[in-house]
Amino acid sequence: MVAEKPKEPESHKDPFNLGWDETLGKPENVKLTRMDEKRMEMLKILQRATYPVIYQTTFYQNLYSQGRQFSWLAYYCDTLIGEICCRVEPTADGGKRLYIMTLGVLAPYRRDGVASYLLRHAMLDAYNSPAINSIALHVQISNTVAIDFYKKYGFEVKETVKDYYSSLDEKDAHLLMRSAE
Amino acid sequence: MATAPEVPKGQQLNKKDDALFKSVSKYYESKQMKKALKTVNQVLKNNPEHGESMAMKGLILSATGNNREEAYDLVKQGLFKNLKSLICWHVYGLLYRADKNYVEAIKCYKQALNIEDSNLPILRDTAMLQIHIRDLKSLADTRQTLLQKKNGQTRANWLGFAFAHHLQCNYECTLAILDAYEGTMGLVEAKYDLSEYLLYKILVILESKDYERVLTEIAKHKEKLLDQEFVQSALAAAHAGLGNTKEEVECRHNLVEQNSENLEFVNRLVKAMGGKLLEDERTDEDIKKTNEIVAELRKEFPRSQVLQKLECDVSVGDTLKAKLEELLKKYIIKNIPSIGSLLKSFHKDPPKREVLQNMLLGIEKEINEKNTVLGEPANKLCIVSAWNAIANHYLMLGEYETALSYCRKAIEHTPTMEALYALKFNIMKKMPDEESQREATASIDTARKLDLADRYHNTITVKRYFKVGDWEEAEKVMSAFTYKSPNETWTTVLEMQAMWYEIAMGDCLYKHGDVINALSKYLLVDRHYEDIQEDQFDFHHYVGRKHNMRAYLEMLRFADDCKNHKFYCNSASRVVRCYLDLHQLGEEECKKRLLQPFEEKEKIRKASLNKDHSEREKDLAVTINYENPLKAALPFLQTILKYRGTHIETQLLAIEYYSAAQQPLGTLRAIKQALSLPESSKSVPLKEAATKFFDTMAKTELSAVVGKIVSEQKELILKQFS
Repeated sequence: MVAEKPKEPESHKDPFNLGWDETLGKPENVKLTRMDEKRMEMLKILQRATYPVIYQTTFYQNLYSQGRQFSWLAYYCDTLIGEICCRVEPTADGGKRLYIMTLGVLAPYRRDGVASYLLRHAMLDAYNSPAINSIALHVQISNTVAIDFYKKYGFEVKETVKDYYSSLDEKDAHLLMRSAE
Repeated sequence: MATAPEVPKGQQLNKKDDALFKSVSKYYESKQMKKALKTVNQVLKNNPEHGESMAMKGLILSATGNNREEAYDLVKQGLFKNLKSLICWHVYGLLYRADKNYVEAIKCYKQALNIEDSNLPILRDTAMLQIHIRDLKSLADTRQTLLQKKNGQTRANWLGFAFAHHLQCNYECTLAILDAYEGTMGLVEAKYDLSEYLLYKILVILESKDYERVLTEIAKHKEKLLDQEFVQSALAAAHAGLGNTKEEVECRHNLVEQNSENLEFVNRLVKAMGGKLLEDERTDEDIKKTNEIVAELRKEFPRSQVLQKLECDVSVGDTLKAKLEELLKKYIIKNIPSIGSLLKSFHKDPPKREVLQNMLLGIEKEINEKNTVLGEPANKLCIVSAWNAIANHYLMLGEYETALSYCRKAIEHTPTMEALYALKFNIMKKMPDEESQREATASIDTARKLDLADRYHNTITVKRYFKVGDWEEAEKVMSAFTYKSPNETWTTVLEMQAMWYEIAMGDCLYKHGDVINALSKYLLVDRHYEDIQEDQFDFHHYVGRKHNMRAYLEMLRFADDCKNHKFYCNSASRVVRCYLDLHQLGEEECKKRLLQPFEEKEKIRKASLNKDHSEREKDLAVTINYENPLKAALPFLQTILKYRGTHIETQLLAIEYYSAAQQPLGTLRAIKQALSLPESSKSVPLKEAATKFFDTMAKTELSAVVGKIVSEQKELILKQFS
């Protein structure tokens, strides 16, 4: 069973004025699909290889049931090499935000624009969904590479959370946000 | 016989009862069993000695209930009352036929025909049964009789008559019949029916090796023949038989044009053009000529994958290097998963192994240094592909540690590729230490989990769990593709005739020491083959109406030899093994060895089945012969001796069997047949078995004749081992 064919984001234009072209910067040989129920283990292995944190089984169950409409998987020549997993959360002001839980690409396939390609798709999902006002994520304060990456897409540091990553050495995290209107 | 048969006293019915009796058969045929039963009971109330009614009642009971004994009894009683009754004999035959006892059924029909020899339905039924049990001579007689009767001249009867002789290889006779058929009934008009008939006739002529006539017949009916593939094949075979190489090449070329991926077409074309394939003996000139032929064909059919592979197969030296590079380039750049099996086929030819190794290691180096594969730019997966290929290569050479190191490199690079975990499984399962075996099982399970929609890896995992003795886990994994409830998995396995599963489960149980349960699984394979044989039955009738003679013939020939298949032969040798164990250990001991956890699970499972499923399981029940295990094993042994007699394991099993059965001549024959196999005199188990046999014979009392033979053979045989 193949993962359902995803609807392409409705407008390939540049809603955030970041200089995107029609192709959204599609890297060579890369295809994006939505999550496939039969391939959750593959996703698990990918994340285990790209993150210092190991997620529980419940994470994956919830991910599939709640997050699959806003998450993307990246395949290089039919092999899974990258992902962005998001969920929609209510915000304090009564609205909704897209929360990016994970974004990762296998080491040999980095520096090719895959992460950007994934992020752009997620941002367009947020833009095209009228209920979603903003996009947010947490990142370790020592992860300057990631912080610079997100800043290029208009994300800003909203606040700093102490002891967010209780199991890691660097426990403190920044909350990065940007609008999705 | 023109006169009606004499009706014995008490068997004549009055008008009213006679009418009732006639309605019984009408009700039976329209399946209104309750009414039929009620009516026949009415007739019997008034005429308690009426044999035909008793027989009909028996027939109705057999169709409705499961009380076969009562049914048979009634029919026999009825028959006794009226031995000259057509109906009684016919009904008796029908009972036997329903029980698949075809030999007895035919006997009953014959008796019925003695009473009334022009009864067309009975004649037709007899013919159907005769072809089913392959009693071809009698079949020919029956068909001929049918044709001589009034209303017996039907196309089905003519064709049936022709088949009867064709299957006995009486080609002249068959063709004479077909000519008579065409003269009497004319050719069929419908387009496909006509084409099939003409092609069947051409097939008979081809099999009779009358090649000239094949050519004339095909030319005569050209536009009417619709199956072009068969026509070209027949023409090619005919021209080959007559030595017309040029025409043969033309026909075979047409076939390759139709389908350039058909290996058989391609091989035959190359051979017809004068090429020699890998398995033939080849001189340098042969090799050069074959390469030219194949290169020419490749220019004409550039997209044919079969031709590309063939080119690599038949090449040597520098040509081989060039062609292999071309092929491997494609596989590695596209990351084609089947590169493992491609390499496997090349490994069968030892000279290719070194070439492959240098080439693959060279490709790896090239990717690392220049990021190209034999000149083409590489993508990011190429290095993984290369490592996959190299690991497969070392796996086939038996260098497991090296293979494993490449495999691990690949997994570290791209851990989301299923194929790599399957590769790791293939490597580690060959490594003898326990830790590796466990890791192998975990590995294939991971491969399976990566894509739960992949049935292939699911099946491999099931087999692996059985192999390591974990039948519970195996069933759980299998049920992912059967019904949701694991209890229904087994029913599904039975319905699907999934013989690999039954054999794997049997092996697992046998490994746990449970001979009885293992045997019951192995016997299921035989049971499925009985069903496969039974499946033929409907087609005997169908072919007469539909005129698809060639397909019918293929089916009959397949059914004749269908047991020559690895599923059957594997299960048969295991059946013999289990029955030997049963014979040596005895019923009681084997019952002690029943695997308790398995038995308990079976009880729970059977209790949870719904009515339908439990009916189906009962249908497929097997019986183990506890009283006489050796007798039960004999037909299985005979089958594997017939089809696998050239394997030394088969003969060793036969030696064990005949020794256990205390039949010295049988053992001797098996030993001699084993010794006729190549390299067998070096076989240690064979030498041990033979020595043991002669030692036992020295201590046994033998009859004069047998004793003489044994001592004569002893010298001859033991000498061959030195």
